[in-house]
Amino acid sequence: MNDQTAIELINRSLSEPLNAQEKADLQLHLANSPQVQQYLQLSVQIQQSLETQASQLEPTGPGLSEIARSRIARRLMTELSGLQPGSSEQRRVAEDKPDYQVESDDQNPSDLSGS
Amino acid sequence: MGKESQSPGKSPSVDPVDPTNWFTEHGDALYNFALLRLRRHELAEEAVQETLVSAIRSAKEFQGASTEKTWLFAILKNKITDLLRSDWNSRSRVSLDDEADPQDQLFDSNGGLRTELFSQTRCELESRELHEIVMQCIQKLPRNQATIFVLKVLQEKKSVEICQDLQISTSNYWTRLHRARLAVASCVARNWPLDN
Repeated sequence: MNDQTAIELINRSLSEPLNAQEKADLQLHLANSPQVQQYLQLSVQIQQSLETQASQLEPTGPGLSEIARSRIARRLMTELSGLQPGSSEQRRVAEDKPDYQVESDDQNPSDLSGS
Repeated sequence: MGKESQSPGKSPSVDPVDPTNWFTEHGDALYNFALLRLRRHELAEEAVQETLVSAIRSAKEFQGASTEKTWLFAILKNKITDLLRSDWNSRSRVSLDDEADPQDQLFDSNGGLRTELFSQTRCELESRELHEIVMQCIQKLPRNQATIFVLKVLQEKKSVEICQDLQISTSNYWTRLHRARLAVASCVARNWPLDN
């Protein structure tokens, strides 16, 4: 095994377990290659950092710009006003309700036999 | 209001379904979460907006079984996957041969490392400092590699799902993920301050 193959195995091991032979071959190579050992340590640190971030619901970052904040707020207000009772959106949804849906709601199951 | 009128298991002082507060309270956190994965401001803003619109439309379905915040982030995570998938499909495909391969610079013709990049002594970093370097390095990845890397590592998707979503073969997936991991590790090694 050379360094390139060892590093391929290290990268794959971060996503899925290696089989016993692959593990043994990698261990043997690591014992003789300090550089690949360091690559492994670095990769594990990176992976841990990313896993912490993946589960983090308060990641650090710049936050929304004022322009984006205003634009999204306007869009949400439009959405909310459209959902108010009696709004044009509500009326449209009611008008668009298919006839079969209204009928099936009111229909007695026994009528479905057609008798 | 009498105790009898309160829903079981719900806080008496906080209305769990109050869309007007969602944006104010969680907007920045949602945006930072999205930016980490989508890497582009305009896509992250779109993800936040679409998440909150979806949440408003399905507010009645929110039962309070999870916290409002967890619920919003679950919606956001799906939106991010949708955006990554549609961004991938909207781009012209770059073949693996034409894509940057960090292996060309790192290994000699016998597969040996030709650099001392990984054998230098580095100083201790706080987790926040390491994270900042890692994120800067992900920003530098070619987009195809970044999409696969983010879906796997930050979105925690299974490899089978990623291959299906992006309509790529398993070998294509593994090659790009390997290149991405190698490029990120090399970049982090170059940017991690040395111990003098």
